Order: sequence, then structure tokens, then C-alpha cells
Amino acid sequence: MANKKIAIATAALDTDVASLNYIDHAYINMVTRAGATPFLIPNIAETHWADAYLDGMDALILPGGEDVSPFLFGENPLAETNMAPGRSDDMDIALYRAARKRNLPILGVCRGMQIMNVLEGGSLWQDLALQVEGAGPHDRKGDPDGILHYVYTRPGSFIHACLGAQFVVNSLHHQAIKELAPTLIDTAKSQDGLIEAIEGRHGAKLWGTQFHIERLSDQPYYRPYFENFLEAL
Amino acid sequence: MKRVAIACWPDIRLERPVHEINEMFAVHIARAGAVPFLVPIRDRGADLTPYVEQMDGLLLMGGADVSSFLYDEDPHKESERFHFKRDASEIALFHAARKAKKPVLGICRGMHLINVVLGGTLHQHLPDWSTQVTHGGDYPRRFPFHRVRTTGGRMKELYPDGLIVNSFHHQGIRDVAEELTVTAETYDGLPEAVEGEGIFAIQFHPEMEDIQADTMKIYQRFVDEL
Repeated sequence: MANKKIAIATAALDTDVASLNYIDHAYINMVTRAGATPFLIPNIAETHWADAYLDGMDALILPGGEDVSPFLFGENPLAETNMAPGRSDDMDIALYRAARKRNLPILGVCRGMQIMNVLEGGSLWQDLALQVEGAGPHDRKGDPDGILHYVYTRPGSFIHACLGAQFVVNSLHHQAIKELAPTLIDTAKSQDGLIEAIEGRHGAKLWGTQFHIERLSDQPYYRPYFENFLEAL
Repeated sequence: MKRVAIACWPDIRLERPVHEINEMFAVHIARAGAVPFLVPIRDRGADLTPYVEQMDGLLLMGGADVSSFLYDEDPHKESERFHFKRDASEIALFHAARKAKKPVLGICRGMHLINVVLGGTLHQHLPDWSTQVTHGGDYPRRFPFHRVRTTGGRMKELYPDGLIVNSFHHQGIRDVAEELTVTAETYDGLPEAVEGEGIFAIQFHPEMEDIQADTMKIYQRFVDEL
């Protein structure tokens, strides 16, 4: 598990003074705590280099961020949709396709999991509160580390083996998987039936969590998920 | 394909710490033809070998003041808050890159840090020292701000007649480290570029300068030498 090289995509943020590429420290903490080495990929729309960015890497993490462009699944944006800068979508898509082509394992978190689902052929709810009747609370605004609800895992799945049948998670999203892509299997759900974790079918090296596993990785209970991910590489 | 590692700076946004770059540094490395990747701030003792193996060169970029404790001085009353973890992480990365003979490009704070690590010192608060040339002001960062004369090395080759640069920095080189040579300076004598074995470092920001098109030469030269 030691010395595995983990590529992590960064988010783009345009301010008045500068255009920034950044990643939340929790991802660095999760990767280094497990003994692997994090490499960050700049978000500068050099999509033709997606393959070069992944050379020498053992896995790719697509992190959380702003909303995925709904044009990717054939819908117009709702007023409630906060799309990421266009180059973020371009870069994440290019990295995902390059990683998938070379069979590099991919872990998607929140937005990253949603991109995985969309690029594999699925679709998203653009705004849970507006579109999904009976949806429970999924956005604990202002408290990214706070626990918000239970998830229930599918027996026989990777996440079930790592974290058990039922556990609590944080929650910071207003979008979610609507139609699941045919190459993916849902492996955890919340009580309202929304998909909280996915894995690849037929040996595809794909893992995703809707909750922020990286922000739970300081707690011993949740560490097996990423540690076992590294073991599976 | 050559690869250049860029060391991240820290920021606190919404009380959540992030590892970050100004993307113009990565854009200019890419324009010069090398693949940039970013190294987060690592804790003391972290194994940096994987980064050194992946890189052909290292870029230390701008940012807040370098800790004055690194050259045995107390902070100036105008010092920005030091980021000790960033200093330590960049110093460790610098030593690791040098040990593996990977060239280093330093921009602004990067130049200051390299000078200090190699035994030099800094002006902690430039306005105390410089009276003729100002090094920042209420201008867009891409504007040319003052003249620089070139005195040797790569800088003299690239800009035999000198150049005009942008400028926004709070500190500057005071005593130059023994193994570095000043290859460009302001007309009142502040070092604007230093060079040494595997080291090319400049005070100004060609990656944010688009008035004088030929400032791209510096990034190009660094990448061409990898």
C-alpha cells in the first residue's frame, strides 16, 4: 500500500485577482494517512495532456465541487444549478476518459461520483429539493464535517465489506444520481432511496461515494474504505 | 515529455484549508512545452522520492513572506504571517530536487526562499531600504512597473538590453547566497534575478505579464534546459 501514487484532480476558481486551482486538504489527509502519495493535476484546460498527467499514477480521484453541466445528460440547467467553470468539466471528463481507457482505478467523491455516472451513461437530479418528492435532508450547509443521515449498504459489495451494513455520513449536495449507468451498481442508499455509493460492474475499477469519505478519514471507523481501495489497486 | 513539479501554497477558504496555485504558473509551464503537476504541502518527514522521480524540474512560486527565523532574525513589524509548514515543505522539496540534480525555477518568494536556504538574507520590508524604485502599487499585476538591467548569465543572453518588468513584492534579497550570482538588478541595486548550478530565479512575474510579449522567454529557457 505504501508509495502508491494517487492523482487528484483540482477545482478551478476565478477571482478578481487570479484564477486558482485548488484541492481541499481533507483529500491530501486521506491519501497521506493511508501511506500513499498525492499528486495534484492542474485545471488549465490542457485536456490533450490528460493521458500524460496520469503516467506513472496508480489511481485517480475525482473530488467534489460545483454542479456537473446538465448538457452532459441532455437537459437545460435549472435556476438552482451552479455549474462549475467550463474548464473543470472539460478537465474532469478528459481525465476520466483517459483513466478509463488505461483501466486505471477511479474513485469519485460527490461531484466526482456524479461525473462518473453521467459519463457512463446515467443522469442526475439537478436539485433534490425541487425535483424529488420525499427526499430527506442532504445539504448540511456550513457544517461540512457534520453527520446528517444513515446509509444502508448492499451485502457483498466493497463498501459493505469495508464499513458494514449501516453507518452515518456527512452530506453536502443538492444533486444526486437519477438514472444509474448500466456499467455501475448502487452499493449504498439513504433512507429516501437516493444512491450514496456506487461500484463498477464486471470488474470495472470504479468506486464512488456521494458523501465525503475524505472528510471522515480522520475517524478510525471509516479508514478501511480508502485503505482497502489502495489494497485493491 | 518533460514534467515540472509546482509546489502549492496554502489558503484558508470558508475555514477549510486548501492546497492551491495561481494557475498562470501552470499555464506558462504548459505553454513552454512541459507537463505541470502540483505537489501539496507535505508534513515534515514525508517521503518526497515519488515527486522527485516524477519531475524533471521544480518550480517554487510566489506567495507570502518567507519566515525571518530561517536567517536568524525576528520578524519585522510589517511582516506578513509566516507559513512555517509551507516553508518547511518547500525547503525539503528544494533539497530533494537538488540532490537528484533536477533544475529549480524560483519566482518572487521562490527566489527569496532559495537565497535564504543557501545562506543569504532578505530585506524584510523593502520600503525601509529602497527609495528610488517602488515594488508594488495600485496597478494591474500585468503592467510593466520598473526597469531591470541584466548583468550576466541566462538573463544577459535573453535580454542583452535589459527589460521592463511588473513588480509586486514586499521583500527582496539583501545578502546574496555565496553560490548564487546576481544576473539582473534594478537601477538602485536590488537583485531581480539570481542564477547558480541548476538554479534560475527571478523577482518579477513573467507569468502575469502580457504587455512585453518576450517575458515568456524565461519559462521557455527553463523548460528547454530540462
